[in-house]
Amino acid sequence: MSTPAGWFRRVLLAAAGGLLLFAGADAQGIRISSRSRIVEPARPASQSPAGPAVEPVEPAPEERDRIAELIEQLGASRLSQRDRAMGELARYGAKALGQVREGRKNDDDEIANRCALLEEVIQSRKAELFLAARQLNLSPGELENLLAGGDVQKLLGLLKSRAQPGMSALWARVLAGLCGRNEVFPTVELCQSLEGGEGYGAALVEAAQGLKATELGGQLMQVVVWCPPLRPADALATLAWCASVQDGAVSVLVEHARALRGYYGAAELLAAARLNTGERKLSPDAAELVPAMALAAVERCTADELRAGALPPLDRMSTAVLEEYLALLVRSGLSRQLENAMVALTARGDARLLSLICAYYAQGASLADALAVFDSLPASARLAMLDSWAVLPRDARVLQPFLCGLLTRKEAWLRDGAARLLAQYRAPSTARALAQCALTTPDSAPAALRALALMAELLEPADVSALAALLPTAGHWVRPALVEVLLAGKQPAADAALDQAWKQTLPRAELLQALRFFARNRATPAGAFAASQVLLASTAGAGATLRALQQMEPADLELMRALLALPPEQGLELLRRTADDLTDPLRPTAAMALAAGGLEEDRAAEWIRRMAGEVWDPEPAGLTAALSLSNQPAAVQFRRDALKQGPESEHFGLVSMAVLMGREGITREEWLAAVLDKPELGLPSLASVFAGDLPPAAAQQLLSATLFGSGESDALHPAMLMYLRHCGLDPLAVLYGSTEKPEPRDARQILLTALLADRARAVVILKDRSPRPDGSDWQALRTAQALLGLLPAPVAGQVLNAARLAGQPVEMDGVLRRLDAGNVGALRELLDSYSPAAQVLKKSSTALVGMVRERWRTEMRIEGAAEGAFGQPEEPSDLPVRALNSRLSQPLPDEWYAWWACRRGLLEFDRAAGRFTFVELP
Amino acid sequence: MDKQGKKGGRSRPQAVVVERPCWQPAEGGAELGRALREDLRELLGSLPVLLEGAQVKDGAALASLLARAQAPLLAVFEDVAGLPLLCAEGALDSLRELPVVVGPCADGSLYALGVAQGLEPALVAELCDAACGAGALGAVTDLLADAELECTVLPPWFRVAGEGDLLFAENLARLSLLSEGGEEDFIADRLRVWLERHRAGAAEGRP
Repeated sequence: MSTPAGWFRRVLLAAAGGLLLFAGADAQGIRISSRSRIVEPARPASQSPAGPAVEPVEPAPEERDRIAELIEQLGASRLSQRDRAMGELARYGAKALGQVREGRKNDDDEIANRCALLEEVIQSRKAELFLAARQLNLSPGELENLLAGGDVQKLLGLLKSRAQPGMSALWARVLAGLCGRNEVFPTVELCQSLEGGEGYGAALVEAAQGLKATELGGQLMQVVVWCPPLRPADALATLAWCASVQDGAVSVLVEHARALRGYYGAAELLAAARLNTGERKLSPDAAELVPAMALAAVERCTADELRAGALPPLDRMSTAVLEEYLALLVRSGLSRQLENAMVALTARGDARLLSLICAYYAQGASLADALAVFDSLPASARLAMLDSWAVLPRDARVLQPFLCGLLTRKEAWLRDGAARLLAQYRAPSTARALAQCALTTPDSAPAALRALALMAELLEPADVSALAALLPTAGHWVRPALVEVLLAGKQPAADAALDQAWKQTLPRAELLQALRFFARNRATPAGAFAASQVLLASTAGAGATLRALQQMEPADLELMRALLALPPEQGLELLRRTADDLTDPLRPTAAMALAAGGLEEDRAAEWIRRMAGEVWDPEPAGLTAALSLSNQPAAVQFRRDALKQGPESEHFGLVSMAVLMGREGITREEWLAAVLDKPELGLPSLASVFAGDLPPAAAQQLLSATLFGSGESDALHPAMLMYLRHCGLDPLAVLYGSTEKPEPRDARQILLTALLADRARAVVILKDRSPRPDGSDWQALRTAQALLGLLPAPVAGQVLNAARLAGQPVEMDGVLRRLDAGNVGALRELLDSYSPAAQVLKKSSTALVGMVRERWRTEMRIEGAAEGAFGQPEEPSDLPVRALNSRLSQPLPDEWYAWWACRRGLLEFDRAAGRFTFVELP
Repeated sequence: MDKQGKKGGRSRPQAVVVERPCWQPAEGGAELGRALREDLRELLGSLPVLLEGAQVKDGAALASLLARAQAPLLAVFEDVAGLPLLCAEGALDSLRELPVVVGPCADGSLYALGVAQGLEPALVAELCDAACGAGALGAVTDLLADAELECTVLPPWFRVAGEGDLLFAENLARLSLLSEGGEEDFIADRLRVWLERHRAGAAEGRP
């Protein structure tokens, strides 16, 4: 073991930072250790490599005496004394600087040279590293090498065995060097244990101040949210300094601050809103964001806490700060403060700001108050309020009548806005009001009809007839929505109007609707064709049907038009001829149509022979879809034989299509059993899996397949996790086999154990587990502890926020817990996030602000401004809605998007029944 | 568990320098105390221990520190000069196996007391009180015997309780310069400086 004398004996060597050795031997009476050597002459102190020069600080009298003694000892006869005195002087830092500078003029060259070295150390601001190196029994150069990305484990080992409290500069370098690596987390724990909460916080801030590379800023922010320091000021300072390094970090910064919500108290956070960063200043952009971060991190506060906080005055808040301020007022239920803010900002005359605050006011004030002031506000502010209610619906019993009243206003933009919102309030009175609006105000007809389409089946026959009468003369703005209403109404007058209109002319834009309409009656040739297209498109999943249908060829359109124009017998003849014509490119389409309508007669057997190669066919693969659709005995038997061969069968795809289209002969359970038996050959789509319940054994097989097969990434898909829990499987049997003492082997297994297993058993497996020294499972273990309730509540919340930010699949778990507690917002957010129309409504407050911003970015067109704010919807994932049905008063249909869209504003929680229900409006 | 829900990470042994004012010579008495104390802290800090910064003035404070400790703790009294490194290392090694380590002084006091975890708090409090009081060696021995506890006894050393002890320290310092081990045989750099300043010519062996 290296002894203390060892570093008494060590020569101070130059380090990467340009530290010096003291002067070499001089012949004349200068006591210099034979062990010293020259590296390079001293640099002038003004050339500090670390920024502006350190200024001397006046020491206390007793310190001054002590410093003088130590300077004298720099010339001691023994090297150990000289070195020790150097260390003690370095510890004094700027307080010794004045006397050290004087010491450079000392007659004793040893003292003079050591003072020069000391001045260099103090000016380089690396005195603490210098001392840390001594503590770790390293030379400064060795320490620098380790910090510069040398042997991480060696460095951590040294810190673990030798570090003492008071080495925050060293920890800052270590944390900055390790951020982005898993080792940073056990290192943080070590730092916290040695330096305490405040010391760790100081090290974090210093690490952030020293960052140079932009990507490190984001990585250090991650450290802050996973391991928040004791003091909120340190958390905010670290984030702000990270932002100074990164460009365009505003939203990222606030997002990270939001992840700390609930961890710190409101009062201390708000007090930290005005950071004192000492002699180093944040960039103006970063400094401006500090109050925004503080506000974002507050869960909720009282009016007194808000008043006592170090916030800028309202009229000097930037937009970012104002947004967070208003959101906090809403979260905290401080409606009076919201009103005050409205009054103050109205006086500024800035319509954009007024819109912003009105959007929040619409949420934070009582609905009655909001409705009372509605008409007194300018147009843009009223639109903002409507936008707000579109995102976050309020009490349906109060809002729906108000909105119906807006439909009769003379301002078209008000009518359109109201109509857009009313789409969420499915009720006979809503349908009636929308129908009247469409019939009496032509310029609002498109908006009214779009909303009405979701609830057209509630219309009175008289209204339907009146709307149907509009069809022949409807212009291209009105017609698409009108067609949708008539289609959804499913009433004789509507059906007759549509049938007549499309048989006369079928516009390309209405092909999809026509297919849905005619598919209702498969006995006709046109109906059979339509049904075949809709069924085939449905195999791609509920959300994908629309896109699949949109990809139909022009030839398909022409065929549809031809079938509509012809009498049924001739249409059937056309289909049969086309299906039998080996040279016709529409042969597969026609064959499918015949099969879908049950009109193929005995062609199925012929198709089988062609597919099997017994009869030559130019394109046997083109008959696959027809054989999957056909319910003829030969086709059914063919599919059953393919099923018996399993997924290796070349025709198994045909089997899958038939099952997904609901054709005869094979149940979904039989098919899934075969698929899951050989998962390496390809898992079915999530939609097909979610379409029904799985018995636990099959669910177990599914989990095995996803864990160990080609669908590995699906295992942690939030919807899949939700589904597997719902199926009641035993994931531990899959994860660990029959081991008596299960031991997760990696981070993924830790997470799966916590997310899927029975809580009590998961706790037994994980409660005493420690993270690996390399930190590779640290985050997963921490997340698991939070999920299983093994952490105190505020800490668990913060960990789950951090996990969410890091993309871990904990969202569903949190949502399900909130659902269990009857949180209406949770169910709304869940369904929104999986449906296409509301796909872009991400987190409510973000969407709210996004809409207001977008409104001002686009030109001031009132109509569609809100839609313009939404952007392009992404392809939604599938959701196992059956897993939610036990929580609802009425089950969600499998094709639930439209069903949900028109009931979104009606959702509430019935505490007595313990279920979510939908308000029944007149 | 702390606010973070983490268990304490301090598995390293801990060490502390216990206040016990040393004998004050006519000249430079306060400086002598400081030199001895800082030498000890430097020595202990070079070992793989966590050096406690808390002030420990009496048995109660020591017992309180032990109650909070999450690892074995070695307490060294501040009026000890040139504590051999091997004694400190040996004490830490012993605490892995045995519950108590005692460092006796020839004058009936202690120069070190080490306590591992797991002892009864009442016994620990009594040991601390005894170690910090008069006749510490005898009192601690009695307690250990009554409790039938095994312990390690370190080699005897000395503390600076009078002129004779200071002279002893001075001569040890001089001898260490002549020995093969050199300064490593008597690690007390600040004491040497004090001796140079206040006992001219003595520490260096110069006339």
